[in-house]
Parts: sequence; structure tokens; C-alpha cells
Amino acid sequence: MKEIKIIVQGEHLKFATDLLDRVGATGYTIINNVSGKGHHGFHEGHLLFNDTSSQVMIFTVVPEEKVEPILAGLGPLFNKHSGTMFVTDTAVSRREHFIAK
Amino acid sequence: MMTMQEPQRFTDAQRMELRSYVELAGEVISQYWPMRTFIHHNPLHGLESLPFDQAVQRGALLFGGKEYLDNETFRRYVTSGRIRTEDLKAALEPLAVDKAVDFAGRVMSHLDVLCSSMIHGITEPYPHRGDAVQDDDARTFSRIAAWLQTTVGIPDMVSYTPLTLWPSLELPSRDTLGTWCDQTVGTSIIETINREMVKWCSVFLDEGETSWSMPHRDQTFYGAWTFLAQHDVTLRLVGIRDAPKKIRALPERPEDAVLDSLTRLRIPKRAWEEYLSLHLAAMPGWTGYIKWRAHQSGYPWQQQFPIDLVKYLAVRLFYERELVEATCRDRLGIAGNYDDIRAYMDNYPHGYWLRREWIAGRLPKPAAKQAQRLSRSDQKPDHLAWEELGRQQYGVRVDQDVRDWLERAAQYLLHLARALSVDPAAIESTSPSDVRTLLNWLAGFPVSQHGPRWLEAFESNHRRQALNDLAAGARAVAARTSSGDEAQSRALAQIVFCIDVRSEVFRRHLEHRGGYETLGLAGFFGVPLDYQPFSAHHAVSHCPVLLKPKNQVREVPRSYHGVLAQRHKTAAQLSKAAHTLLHDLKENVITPYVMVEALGWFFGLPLLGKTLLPRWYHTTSRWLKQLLMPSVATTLTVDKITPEEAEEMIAAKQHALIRELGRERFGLAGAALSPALLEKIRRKAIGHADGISGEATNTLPCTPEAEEAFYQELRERHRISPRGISDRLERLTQTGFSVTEQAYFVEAALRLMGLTSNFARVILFCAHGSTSQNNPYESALDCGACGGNQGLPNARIIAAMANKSAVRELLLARGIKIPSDAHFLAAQHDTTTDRVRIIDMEDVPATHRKDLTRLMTDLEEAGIPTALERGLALGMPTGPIEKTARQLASRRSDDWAETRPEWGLSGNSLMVIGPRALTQTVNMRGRAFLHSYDSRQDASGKLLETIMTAPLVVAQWINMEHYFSTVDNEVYGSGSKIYHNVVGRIGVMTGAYSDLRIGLPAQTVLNGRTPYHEPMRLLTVIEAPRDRIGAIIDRHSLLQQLFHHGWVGLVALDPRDRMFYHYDRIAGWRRGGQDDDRLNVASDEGNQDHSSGRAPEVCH
Repeated sequence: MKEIKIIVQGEHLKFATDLLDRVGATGYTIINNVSGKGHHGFHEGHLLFNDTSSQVMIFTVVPEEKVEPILAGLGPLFNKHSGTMFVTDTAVSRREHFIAK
Repeated sequence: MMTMQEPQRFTDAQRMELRSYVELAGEVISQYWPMRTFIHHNPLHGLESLPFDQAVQRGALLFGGKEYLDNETFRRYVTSGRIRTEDLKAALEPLAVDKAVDFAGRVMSHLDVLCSSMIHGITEPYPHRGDAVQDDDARTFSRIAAWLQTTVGIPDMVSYTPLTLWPSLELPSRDTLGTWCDQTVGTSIIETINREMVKWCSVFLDEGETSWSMPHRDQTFYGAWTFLAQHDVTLRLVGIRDAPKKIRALPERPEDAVLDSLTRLRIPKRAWEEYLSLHLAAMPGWTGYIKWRAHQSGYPWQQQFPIDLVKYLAVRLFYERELVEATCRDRLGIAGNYDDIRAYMDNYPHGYWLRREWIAGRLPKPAAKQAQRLSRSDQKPDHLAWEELGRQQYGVRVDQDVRDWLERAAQYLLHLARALSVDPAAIESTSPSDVRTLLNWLAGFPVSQHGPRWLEAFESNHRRQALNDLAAGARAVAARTSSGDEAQSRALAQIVFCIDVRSEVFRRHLEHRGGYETLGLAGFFGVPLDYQPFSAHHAVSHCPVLLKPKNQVREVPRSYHGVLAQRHKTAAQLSKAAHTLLHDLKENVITPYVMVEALGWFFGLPLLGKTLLPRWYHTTSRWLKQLLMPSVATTLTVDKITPEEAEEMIAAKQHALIRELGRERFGLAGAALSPALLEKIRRKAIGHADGISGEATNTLPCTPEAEEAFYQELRERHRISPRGISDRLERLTQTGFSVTEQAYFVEAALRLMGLTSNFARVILFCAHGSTSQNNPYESALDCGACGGNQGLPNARIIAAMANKSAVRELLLARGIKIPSDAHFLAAQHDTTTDRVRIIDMEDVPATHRKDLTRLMTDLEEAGIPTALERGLALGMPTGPIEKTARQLASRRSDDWAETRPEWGLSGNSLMVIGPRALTQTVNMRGRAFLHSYDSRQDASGKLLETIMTAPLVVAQWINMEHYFSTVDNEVYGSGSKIYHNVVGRIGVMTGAYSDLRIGLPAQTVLNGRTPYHEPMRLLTVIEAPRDRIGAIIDRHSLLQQLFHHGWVGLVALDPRDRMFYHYDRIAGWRRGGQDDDRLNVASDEGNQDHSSGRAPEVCH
């Protein structure tokens, strides 16, 4: 199984979660108001009145064959906007829980 | 007969990649919110990553919208003094080289030439080209043209006329293939495609407006279309052969369909994003709405009938590829794909050029006739003949262009001479080299480049005046405080308004009455919430669209109106049933024939009433409504209910229900239904084992089967089951705010404003809303900070929260002491009639009775000059007396024929973030957003960051919406209200069908043909140390985009030295402007006349 961590701008959250749904990930976790540093400089986290301007992190666990479509789906987006994606190997206790029927 | 290609198989990876491209392509389209909650948005929001000048140009390419006001309007501004020549010269400075020419005896520098070119419109196309020119003009003309030809000669670049504007490689990024066909062979493919897409979109996206809705919508847009389009005869009529067969052969998934179309059209992958952008930009209204809908989670219409941009493109590209294929085969004998088209363009460049010129109507008559003949041949198109004719015509054109150039050059020189009041005869005395230089200068600065300079000059003048007024005002206040006039006394009341520009007028007049302090805060008062009104079934978000609320608030009747509330509910249900019945009768096929005779006269009454006697009609109908369905006093569910309380509430309700049913069904009454029994029955229904055991058959007088059925009914219909209870529990505990949350929001609001001490006895949160009749744009006049709704619920909530002693205790621990005699109130300002209504007066303690009365009187009185001032702007008839102003304002809000109930936010140009002292003595004429802020209380800059990343952004959206709707009302605005038809309950179209209109209607921003709103970019003035502001900008790419790309101007008033600093991307902070010493707020020397209290300065 592979674990995928995606960091995108708040305005692309819907696109990323939509992509995961379509590819067949059974679920994902979202962490809001993530701050950090990238090629475009430091990105601030929580803003009181603005949800769209901060970064979010999404992570999900999917079987290996799903990684390619996810990569393909996020590739053009990352060419144009700030964000990043990490894929790592992971082990889970209930395999069937993470595989879409 | 065309062979049908098998649709290819695409992998998941390819599909997801395509979705990504569509997402990126869709970024240039700005979202469109449904009109129930109109959101002012920058139509070029997707292009904000570009500098302003480039973004408007790209907008022109994509949407066809004008970038700036037309030069003629700007020239009128020069005449009327709104633009100064000095500012224009300053704007042109960076373009000018340090050289001068001697023209007809007059020495002119490059700068002078450029300036004249703009002010006198020298290079504008001459209105009477060639024909109706006056006689002596014509003579002078030809004389000068001849002189030019002999003396000056033709510059080399003129003899080159390009065959094509851009190389064929750029085709997919510039035009769609459909547009290419339209321009090359004169079809109307794009129009056809647009018409079809409007048809399908408007029926699919309907939200209950139509009586005959589209079937199969649940199969998604693409699925429904593939199902229905097979039977649509239109496809055959527009020229798509074998349409049903082709549609049936389409792939099941829309991504595959898009990939298939792109592959057939042979669009190279590098150009996909731009190509798809072009398609989406053809109808920005509908695509903007689809984009919005696809972004929603939990929107019921979207969940039932899904649509998104990929599905839209799947349908649209099908039409394009079929129509392009058919056209190219029939008219050009080539395949309808990019590779073949490019080959055609490259192999027959002159033939291609000729075709385009002929379609555009630029060929001389005989050539046009020949082209006509060539195109009419029944055989295959003869490319060689076209090429031959094209080559010949091209030669003719080159010669013509040379003659045109001479004519134009002569025009320019003549025009310039006239502008300088120089004798035209002297023109020939100019040396040839000077003439050449002069013409180069003029040609190098074409009309299309004038716009940005005009805008800059326009803004400079206004901004300079604004800053001067602010400086003078601030000096006056500083003088007053330094001279010890103002003791730190307690204000009579503090009133918090929304930052909306209309509040500024009211604030001025209210403060004028003396003793009041007004503040500005974003209209949702820092409390985002989902609000469910008393009689509604759904909650609506009351906060800026940048946020998602996490708390729900319901409006419930006050306990002493319990019975009345019940009656209200019944009456509301009856009314709803009656409306549904009426709607069904109207939409049925047969009944209208009968209904018109039977009920027509009844509907005549409101028609006559609303038209002839609007005020009387509305007063009467309000009275009648009050009689039949009296309004119920309500309060809001501010506090959270603990889970135990919630369970108790649910249990009590269910007991009551069981008692009702017991009485009804089994005739049990009184003592037989003891509380213990009710509880036991309830627990049995839920399924708890300790329910009724052996006593079952004895308690309820019926057969065991009937009893079992009864329990079943309790579980299913009345949801007395574990699931039902947990659902109710969840809903109940979600409403309201915990005490900590309440303290958090109140503290945030108070600190943002800088109001943390010296509270008055009464603090009023004044929200705003508007009233108008028959106005689809009604919510555009409501509060933008509340998501296009009226802000009253937010005001009520925060007032209730701030009055709680528990909250005040928490605030005290955090350093904000609210005195025990300070009471918070909520009110709403109706911006159409300028009336303020205070709510929840029952909650006001008796000690504040007098304060309340005084406040109400003053609010009433302040409303009158406000209505007067706004009425003057609306062009009231002959010198209004104050009372008439009020009446006329009321009439505007009651009249259903009124297309302009108020000017709304038109005129906005400025945002001031700082204490009221900065703007107190300045009359800003309702053109400024005012947000209170105290830099001394914000060492970390967090508060300023909050203001800059939300209210400022909303103000910029409003400003840009008004700018573009004024500059090009047909493309970026929605045209005249007269032709609007509400469609699907989501928006308006012009006429029977058109693109969904975005932006503001003509009546809001224009006065007839001339602009009322002055389109210029927002200037933000912030009173804070400039390094703090700089640090905040550096931390947020959003702000960098706005300020560095020129979407918003920024000026800081540094409290340390009381000087104004302009923010420049490259140079950093630049001191002052032209009037350096006048912008020095601190210095009092030499400004003696300002130090005594003067009449308010008018901010132009």
C-alpha cells in the first residue's frame, strides 16, 4: 500500500479531494491551515477570515496501482501552482478497508 | 461518407490528467454565485496573477471585453477637470524620449506630442474617411499627402502588410477551430454551438422554475445529454449528419469524450489548456455558474443532478468537432482537424488570406464578386484559383495600404496643426526628418495604448485630492486634541457600521448630531454563521464567501409568543399550500383557460395597486399580513445546548407526541397516561429492554398486532428510534456557540476595531440591508460581507454574546473591561430608505430606557439628511425638502417599476483602514470603505493582517466588479435590466436565451450612456507603521498579487512621523506625492487656517 501526502493551496482542496474520490481512494484525511516554506516563499497558516488563502494537507492510503492516476491528475496542477506531493510505502492492518470495491 | 473512428480506450491516468487540464483551463473563468445571494466578484479574478494592464488585455482576447473606458469619455473628463494635463504628462513620462521636433514653427518634445495625441485624439480614426470632408479640408489634405510622398517618402515598414497576424502554429492558443472556420468560410459555428449549449445548460441547471423539467438529469449532464440528444432534430438541422449514431457511439465517460474530441481535432497537448480556456470563455456566465456548482459540497441540486466543466466540455467539443469536420470537408475539401488546417494555411497562404478578407468584408467590390463566384462552384474547392486571386489582391492591397498611410499621415499632421492652432499652410515648412520622427512617434503610440495612461492620470488626480483632504482633516483633529478641546469623555453611544460605502454618509450625519462615536467593521461583525430564519427550512451562510461557518443559529419565537408562533406556523403552511396550488394551476395545460376568467379580476387589484399607488398598496398589504399572520417576536439560539439538555428536550417532545397519539388512537386520557407510562412506551419504541414487559397487553387497549403496529409507526414515521434521536441530538447540539467561542468572537471583533476601552453606555451594532421590488439584483444591494444577505442576524448574535456576563468575565481575564452599565444592541440600516430599526428591544434593561429613546430619535433624524444627500445623487426632482426626500426614498423602495432603487456601491474608490479620527471631518461622499483599526493595539500586526486578507479583498472584488461593469457593460456587466429574464431561479439572461449575464446591470453603474461610477482601482490608506504593512504583504502571496500587480493602490500613513507613503513594488515606500509638504500631517506651521475647526472638506 502507498501513502500519499498532498499539500495544495486552499482553493484547490475541492479538486484534490474530487480527484481522490474519482480514482477510488476509500478515504482521506484533511488538515487545514498548514503553514510552511516552498519555492515561492513562506506560506502563512491560519487566517481568521479567509479559508481559501492558506495551505491544506491531504493524506490518503491507496493500493499501488492507484498512484499513477493520482500523480497524473496532480501533475499539471503542480506545474502551475505551488504545492507538493509525497508517496511513501506504508503497511496497514486491514488491507481490504483501503481498497474500493 | 466519412468513416467512423472507433472511440479510443483511455487509461485512468490520462483521464485524471485531463481533469487537471480542465481545472487549469477553467481558472480564467470567475465563479458565478446564484443571484439569490449576489456576490460582487472580479470578472477577471482568474487573471489576477498577471499585472493589471496585461490581465485586461488577456480579458479582451478571451472575452472580447474592453479594457478601459473609451478615449472620448476620458477626453470629456479632461474638459470637465476630472483629469489634469499635468497628471497625464506624469503618466507619459516613462514613455518619452528626450528629443524635440520643430513642427510648423512650433517646438514640441516627445512628451508634448504624446500628450497632444491623447488629449486631441490625433490618431483616432477620422470620422469622415474619404467621403464627406469639407472642400478646403480636402484640398489641404491632398496637398499635404502629395508633399509627404515627395519630401518624406514612404517608410519601409509601411510597404509590408502581413499576410497573417500570427503564425499557424499559434492557432489553438488564439482561436478555436470553430472560430477559424467562421472567419475563413463564413459559417456561424460558434453561434450555433453557443445556442445549443445555452439550451442544454438552462434546462439542466434549472432549480424549480420550469414546470416541465428535463428528464434523466440524475444521469449527470453528460448522461442526460447523450440520452436526449439522440432524439434532437436540431443536430441534423445544423448540419451534423448521422447524429444519433454518432452520439450512441460516444464513450460513457465524459473524460473519454473530451479526450476523443481533442484527439480527433488533433490539438497538440501543449495547447490543451489554452484551447479549453477559449471554449470555456465563450460563455463565461454559464461556465462560471457550472464552476461554482461543481465546487459546492452539500448543494442539493448538485448532488442530485451533477454537472462540472468536464461534462460541459464533453458536450461542447462534440458539437465543435462535428461541425468543423462537416464545414471543412464541404467548403475546403480538407479534414476538420488542426494538422490539416495548418497544412492548408501554410500551403495556400494567399488563398487563405483572401478568404478571410472576403468574409470580413474588406475586399473591393470586383474582387468580392470574383471570390463569390469561386466559392459557389459545385465541384471541389479550387485552391489554386483562390491562391492566384489572393496573390493578385494582396498586391493591390499593399498599394492601397501605402495610399492609406499617406492619407492617415496627412490627417494626423492636419489634426495636430489644428490642435496647436497653427496655420495648416505652415506644415510644409517642417523639415523632412522632423516629420518622419513625428510620424514615428505618433505611430508608435497607437490609440490602443492610451487606456492605461488615461487610467493612471484619472486615478492620480482623484487620489491626490483624497489624500489632501485626509491630511487636512487629520490635521484639524490633531489640532483640536492638542489644544485640549477634547477631554476623554464618554460618548453618548458607539455605533458600529459595516464598511460599506453607504454607511459613510449615515455616519457623517449621525456624528453631526453630536456626542456619538461611529466605527466600521466588516458587516458580519466577525461572526460567521449559518442562519435559519423562523419560517425557513434551510440555513443560509451569513459570512464572506471566503469562509465556511462552523456554527448554526436558528431564529426561534420568544417564549411569550408560543401560541402566536403556532398560529403563525399554521398560517404559513396554509399560505404555502395555497401558493403551490396556484402555481400548479398556472402551469397546468388546461386550467389556465378557466382560471383567467375566474380569478383574473382578483389579480388585477395588486397589478393596479403596485403600479399606480405603490406606497398605499404596500402599506395596506403589510397591514393585512400583520392581521392574518402577525409577526412573532423572536430571539436567536446563541448558546449551545448541552447534550443532557438536548436529550431532555427531545424526550419531552416525544412524550408530548406519544400523549397526543395515545389520546387520538386509543382514547386514553388523563391519569391513564402517566409520565411513567409515556416514558416506558418511549423506551420500548427506542428498543430498550427495560420497556414494558408483561404489562404490554394491559397498558394499551388494543390487540397485540395493533400495538406492534403502533410501535412501528412511532419508530418510522415519528422517528422515535435510536437513529432519529441521535440525528436530532446532533442537530440540536450544533446550533449555537459555546461560551469560550462567544468570548473569542467578541474579543476578535472588539480588538479589530480597536474598541477595547472607554465603552459608552450603549453600543449599537448596525447591520444593513435594502428593500426593493421586482429586483433580481436585490441581494447585490445587501451586505457583501454577509454573503449577499442582510446582516441583521450577525448584529443580533454579537450583541447578545457581548451582553452575557459569562462572556464579559472571560473578556476581563483577557484584558478587556466592559463596564457593567454598557449594553450592546443590534439594528439594521435600510440603505434604500435610510431608516434604522433597532431589534430585540425587550432585552434592554430599564436603566437604559432614556439612552435608547435618545438614540432612536437621533437615528431617525440623521436618516433625513442622509436620504436627502442620496436623493440628490439619484436626481430628485426640483429642490427637495427634507421630508420629500424621505418620501421619495420610500417610494423608490416600493415601486416595482423602479430600475434604480439606489445607486448602491457605485462610486467606490477608496478604502481607509484606521481610526475614525482620520476621516472624521472629511466628506467622502459615500465613496469610501471605512474600517476602524488602532495600530497602537496591534504590535504583532495580526489584526491588520486579518483586515487586509479579508475585508480588503472583498472591497477589491466590489471595486473591480464596478470597474468592469462600467467599462464594458455588455461583456462584463449584464446590460439593461429591461431585457432581463430570470432563468432557473439562478440568474438572468438577456432576451429569450443568451449567456447567463454576469456583473452589474447598466442602471447601477451608468447614467443613461455616460458612466456614473468612476472606474478606477481601489486606493487603500492604512494608518500603521509601514514596516508592519510591508511584513504582512511579504507573508501573503494573495496581497503581493494585489499590490504588486497593480490591482489595488496602497498608501500608508505612518503614525511615527505622520507622513504619507506610497507603496511601490520596486522602490518600496515612496514619500508623499507632488504636494509633499501638504501631505505632512504633523506640521502645523504655515497651515494656520487648518487649525481652527473648519467646515468638512469635500473629498472629490
